[in-house]
Amino acid sequence: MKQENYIEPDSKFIKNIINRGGGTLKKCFQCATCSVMCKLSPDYKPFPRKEMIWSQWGLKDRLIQDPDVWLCHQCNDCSVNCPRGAAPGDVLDAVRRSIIEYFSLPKFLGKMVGEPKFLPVILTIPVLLVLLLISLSSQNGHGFNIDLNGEILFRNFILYNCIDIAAVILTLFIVICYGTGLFRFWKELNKNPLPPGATGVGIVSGVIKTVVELLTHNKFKECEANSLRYWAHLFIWYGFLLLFVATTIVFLGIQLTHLKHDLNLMPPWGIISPIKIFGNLGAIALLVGLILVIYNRLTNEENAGKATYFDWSFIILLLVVTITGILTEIIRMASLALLAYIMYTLHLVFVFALLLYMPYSKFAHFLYRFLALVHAKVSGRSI
Amino acid sequence: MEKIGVYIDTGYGIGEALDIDALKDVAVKEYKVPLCKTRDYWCDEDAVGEIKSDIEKEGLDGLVIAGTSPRVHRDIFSFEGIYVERVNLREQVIWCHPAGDEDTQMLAEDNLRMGIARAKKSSFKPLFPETLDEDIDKTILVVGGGITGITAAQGAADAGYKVVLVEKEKELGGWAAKMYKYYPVTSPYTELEGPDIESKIEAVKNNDRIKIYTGSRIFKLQGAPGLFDAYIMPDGDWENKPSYLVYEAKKAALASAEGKEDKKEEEKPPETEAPKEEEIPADAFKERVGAAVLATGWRPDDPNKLEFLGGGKFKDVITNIQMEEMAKNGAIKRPSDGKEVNSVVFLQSLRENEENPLIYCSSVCDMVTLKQARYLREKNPDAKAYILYKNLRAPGQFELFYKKTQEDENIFFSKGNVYGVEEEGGGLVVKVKDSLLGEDIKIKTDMVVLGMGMVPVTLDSSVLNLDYRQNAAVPTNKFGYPDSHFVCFPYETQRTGIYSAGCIRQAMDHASCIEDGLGATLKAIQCVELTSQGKAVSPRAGDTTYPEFFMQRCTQCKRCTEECPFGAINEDEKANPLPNQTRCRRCGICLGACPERIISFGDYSIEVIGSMIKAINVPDEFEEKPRILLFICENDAYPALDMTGFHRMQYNAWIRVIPMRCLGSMHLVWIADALANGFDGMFLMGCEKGDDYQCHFVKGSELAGIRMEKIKETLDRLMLESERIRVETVSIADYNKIPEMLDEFAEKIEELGPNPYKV
Repeated sequence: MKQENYIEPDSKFIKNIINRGGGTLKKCFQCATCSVMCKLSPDYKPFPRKEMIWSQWGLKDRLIQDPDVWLCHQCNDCSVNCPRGAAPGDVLDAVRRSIIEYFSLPKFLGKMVGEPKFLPVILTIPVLLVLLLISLSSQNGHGFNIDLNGEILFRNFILYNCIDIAAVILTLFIVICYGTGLFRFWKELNKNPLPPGATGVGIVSGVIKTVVELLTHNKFKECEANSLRYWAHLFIWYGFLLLFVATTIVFLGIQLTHLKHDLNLMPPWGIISPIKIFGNLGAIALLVGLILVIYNRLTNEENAGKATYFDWSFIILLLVVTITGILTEIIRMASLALLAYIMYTLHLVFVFALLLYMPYSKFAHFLYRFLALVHAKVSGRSI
Repeated sequence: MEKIGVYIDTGYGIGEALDIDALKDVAVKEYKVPLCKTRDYWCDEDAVGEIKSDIEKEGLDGLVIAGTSPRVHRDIFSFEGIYVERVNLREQVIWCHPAGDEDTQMLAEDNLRMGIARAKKSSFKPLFPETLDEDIDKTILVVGGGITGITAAQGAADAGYKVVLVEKEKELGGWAAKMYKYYPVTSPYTELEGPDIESKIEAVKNNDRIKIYTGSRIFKLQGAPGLFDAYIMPDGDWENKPSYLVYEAKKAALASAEGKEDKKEEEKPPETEAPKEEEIPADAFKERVGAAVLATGWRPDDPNKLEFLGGGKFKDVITNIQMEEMAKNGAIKRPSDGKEVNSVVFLQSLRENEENPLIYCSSVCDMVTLKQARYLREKNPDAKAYILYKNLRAPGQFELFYKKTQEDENIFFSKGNVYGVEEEGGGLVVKVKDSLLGEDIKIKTDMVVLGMGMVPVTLDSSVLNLDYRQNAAVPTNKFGYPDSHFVCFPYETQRTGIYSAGCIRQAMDHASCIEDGLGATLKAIQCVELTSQGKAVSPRAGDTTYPEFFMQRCTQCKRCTEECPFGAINEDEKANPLPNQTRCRRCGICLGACPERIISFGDYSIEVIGSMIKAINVPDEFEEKPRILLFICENDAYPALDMTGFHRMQYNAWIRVIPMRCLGSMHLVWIADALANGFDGMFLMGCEKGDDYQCHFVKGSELAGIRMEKIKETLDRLMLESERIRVETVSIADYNKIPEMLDEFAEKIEELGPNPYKV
């Protein structure tokens, strides 16, 4: 039985998408070239044609529940081949962004991260945080206990404890805010009726399949118009993964050392220690990936899609984190103490910014997409 | 003609492909023509000079020029007062048959024989306008004072012609003056434009050449081009009399046809008659005019047909016309409670039910909807407009307007089947199946606007009340549009001198109407000018011949008066045909119809064509050279056969070609002549017939088809194979199919063996 649904277009939501890079959405006249071109689109109710008219009509509810929005990896085969210049790739990107914003908690942060005019406020928060850490460290009697002529020891500048406590608080913040959004998103996804004859997998299997997909980036590989992105995203992803693993190990090392002093797993590590090699490789991969992304965005604008503030702010933040990180290491090894501490401070500011805004920036797509992909696999939408 | 000169062209390769001396012998020895010359390219200036001096010196009154197709160099080989017959040796002989071949030579000689025979039999006396005792009037009558009519009147006046403009409403301007905005017709085609008709109305009113009757209609139009008498009456009770308006008659016909299975009965146009002489009221104004432009426009289709969409049922379901009126008067408000409208659903491509689309739905209606959605949004920035359609057509530059409209974030488009509109909670709910949203949806709205089609008023009104024997109305196609070969001859109707323009031709916007008004005016001017020179209008523009009726032998069978596609022939009380010279298009369909063979043209008659058939040398049966006669329509089929030649496509050389004015002018006696002369096969090639007819004289090829069916029956009775006659229709683009058609027929004829009548 087909049910009839009342349709109530949400003008605000349409404006929202238009302002967030989907300005071309109204040009769509539903020819479905996009769905035909898309290599990732399933046969049954393919995207992005239906997402285009849902966006045109401002049907927020349908888009929020729609896992297909996240099956799109924005390779832009659709936009390049669109006969009307409606750029479905850009529109889906804007829809994803609107969804991230919709689920953001608190709402105002979600809004602020996306708008250039709030940039000063956004940057001030991590700066204050780092300054607080520095002052806390000094009040403890250890802070500013730095010898500009001796060995550069960041732990003397800001106590690891301080950082770790801050990191834990930050993590809790992320888990609560990001987690709530993700949880609501998962609930919305599951309101979707399963497609007829769906041959989905169990949830565990779905998660495993999604992880494999993430590790191989095999969906990215199918892209034609914007193939450079496969490499770019792959480098960034693995760079990030390596750095994440390295950081976690270092964190654990510090914690273990605190518990058992004779372990002495305190940084700094030697340049040839596995953990350092791990981290440095990650940093280089991240840098290469980012350079590729920026190169692609600048030289291949037509195929790469319209880059918005949302995209650039995240790319630049990531780039700044990477560069300050690498510079901190180099300067430290060059024993330029003052410069090293300054660079370290900057690095911390940007790292905090990256983590603090994870649920609201483009970074957030990581777990939203992860959940959507798991849902797609469980519901048999995408195998 | 008495004294004929034959000129054989040896250029274009004719000299090399044919035996010119033998050809010359045909003219000189067989036909004993006093003058026969050969040279390359008779179309050269000095050659034409030579012909001219021959005419003077030798006193020639007829020329036979053998060389190129009669379709080329027509202007060069045209000499005042001299009959010219052209023999096609290039396109239809040397270009499509092998050079130096015996059969090719025989074909060329036969073509020359036919040409000389025809020239000898033809008479050349322009009968007309000398026989016409009244002066041709060049005033242009324009019926309808909307944008089309105003443009037509202004155009004719600007060209120096007097104009009589008749409008049924009190004011000029028609629908164009009732519009709030127009959709754009100027670059960049994205913004609405304001109505600009006022200045045009003023210009027409202030023009001395234009005489205006408002609040009036045509009571009766009698006469013929150049000699029309229009009786104009102020509006009153008279216009509802069933005898004057086809409407009532049609309604009655439909009512009586209801329940009848026979659909043909239903489709037959109702018989109507113009008011008689004595019925004309004393207060009717009489105007003598030369030609008329019919620009009576349209009315919106009936919304009551759409009850399931709330048409005529709910107050807030209105037509696009009502929407326009509302916008013109100010704010757009709900008719039911006068509240401001915040959402409107526009319904397009309407249908009474699943099977019956409203046939008058057009791109104009689609564009009007885009326009109305735009001004709704202009007037109320919070309003939402939904446009639901089956097809949304924005032809040409209007695509730019559509694109711009699409960009408005509060205008929503979807294809879909709208199957119901209901009242719910103080508003309306529109129910849509198969929407582009991928589901069945319901839309809550304040108001629904139905995109009603534009019905030509000629559907059910005779408008002109013509005093013609066939009907008082201008003939229309089944949709009510007056037509006469729509594709090639826009503006023309099946009544000579009456040209249709604007929305009675097809649904149009005001820009197209302006173009159309001017186009029809030019046709009307062409008509009065050609008529005053005694010439035919298109498609035989410039023809000065005229059908003569040998009345002593007329049996009053009425076939000519009934079959003339242009209603040119009236009848007197005793059913004698009364030809109206200036209505005639010279197609010769009356000639083909007349069983008594009393109708003839100077160069086209039973005798003339008969002499051509007899001129052809038919070899006896032992020579095994069958002969096939190809009667071919001059309008499309003959040019197509020439094009076969251009493309050097080869076909059977047994075929002899006789051009017809129209296949409808084909007389059955010619078939008998051909059989008696030993022809083995007869092939008739004409234009497409039926609903999408391409016959230049509307009914000609259809009539030929009917007549040939009858003769086939006769042949079967005589134990002669009816396969010997074939009728085919071709369009001008079918030139590449013709060789196959002819070859296949020739094979069939060979199979059948020789005609038993062959000597």
